[in-house]
Amino acid sequence: MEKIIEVLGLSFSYTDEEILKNVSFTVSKGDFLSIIGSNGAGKSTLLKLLLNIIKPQRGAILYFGEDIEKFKGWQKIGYVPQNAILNLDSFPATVLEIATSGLYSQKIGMKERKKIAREYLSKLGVLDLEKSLIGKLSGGQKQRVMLARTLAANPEILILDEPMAGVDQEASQNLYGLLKDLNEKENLTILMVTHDLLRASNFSKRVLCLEEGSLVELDRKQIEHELFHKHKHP
Amino acid sequence: MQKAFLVGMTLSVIIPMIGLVVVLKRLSMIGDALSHSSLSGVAMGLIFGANPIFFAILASVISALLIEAIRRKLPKYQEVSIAVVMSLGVGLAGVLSGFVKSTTDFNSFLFGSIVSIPDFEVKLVLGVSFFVILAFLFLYRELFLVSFDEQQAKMAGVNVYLVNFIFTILTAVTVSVASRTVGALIVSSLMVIPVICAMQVAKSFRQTLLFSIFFAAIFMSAGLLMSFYLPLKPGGTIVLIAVLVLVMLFFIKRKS
Repeated sequence: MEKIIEVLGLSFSYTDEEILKNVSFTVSKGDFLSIIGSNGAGKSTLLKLLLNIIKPQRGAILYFGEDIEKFKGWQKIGYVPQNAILNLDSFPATVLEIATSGLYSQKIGMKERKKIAREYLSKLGVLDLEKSLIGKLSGGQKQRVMLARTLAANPEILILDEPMAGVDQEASQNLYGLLKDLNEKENLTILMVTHDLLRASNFSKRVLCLEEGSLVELDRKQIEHELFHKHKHP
Repeated sequence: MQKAFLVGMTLSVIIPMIGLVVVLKRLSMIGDALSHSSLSGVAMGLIFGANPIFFAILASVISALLIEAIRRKLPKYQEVSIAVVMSLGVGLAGVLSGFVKSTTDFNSFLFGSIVSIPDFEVKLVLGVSFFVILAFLFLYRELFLVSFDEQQAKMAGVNVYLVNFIFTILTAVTVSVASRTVGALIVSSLMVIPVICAMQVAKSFRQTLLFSIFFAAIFMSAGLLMSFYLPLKPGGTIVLIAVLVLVMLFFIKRKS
């Protein structure tokens, strides 16, 4: 299976205390991998390292076998940041303008961009809102627009940071289902960072848990134990 | 008066163009910082007996680059960069103004002198505006992306550093030529208020840009006309009309 992301022995600290300790994992083509962890576990730090915003003290990150420092194919990476939808409230653009902007790296004309953007807005069920201002949409609708925008650029992997932040329960459930469909039917590789273990385990193929700087892959039994433990002691 | 209208209408295009991106990048006070910095350039120009506008542009560009440099170092505290540079600009302008022989010349930069603008400065405004409009249209998509989300823009292949650098220069140049005409104390308001007015009525990003220019042109023409027939300073009149229209729009939007 083609390896899209390889994280090898990653360690990082802001001060003396290590946030990430020798973290290693691989994301292969067709994976739907969730990384869960409580607040302060280091999920955001890990994402910043994956996006080359910060550099690790030790370890390496490879994208398609190439070191992240030399990697030039960032257009292959679709990224939806945490709280992306919160920033949309005051941005004066229509759904179509937002979706079309995701096709910047494609060397095609505006007519073609709009056509592709509309295709993905339709896939995500928000085409009828194309002329609406993005700030007027609900959290779930905004997230669908952001996903359509990101998917329209045809990425090889989708990296999502807390994609359901600001989205209500019902909309979250639908969106998770949509992501699962995209993964299973279109073989889209997804790496999702979330604190929602229940949904992560229901919808993703693999779940990694980040705790006290270490990353551990959870099997079904461990997931059930974690969920039971959380239920008893919320 | 014809020259004043020509300059006014030209500035009505470029100031809100820059203002739209400034507002979306949450840098609304940058106009104030740069206009105050340009005053220190004006003072320097007047002290050395050179054309104050060129020194104003130079001071504004240096300040804009300084703001951008600090902003990159402290991305979570962008407003700090503006506050620091504004303080530096105000301080320098204050100290240097004490050495300026002709206070009338210096004061004309505070509130502008659009109705008595010399031919050379008209040509300068037109030339600078042509350049700003061209650059803005050329970088329209990049500016949209950078205003939307810099990280995603970077991943999409936008040279965010270069776009921000160019936009910083455009902002500095626009603010300094506008300061000469509408006044250093006024230009910041003209960058922001037409954009906020536009956001109350526009239904898309493109409409927001066009309405911003429309509102700026209305404020400029109304302000110039009123100052022509009444004993009012044009810069201040333009801004007061802008604020009045904004309040009315808020009121109408709330009612509807």
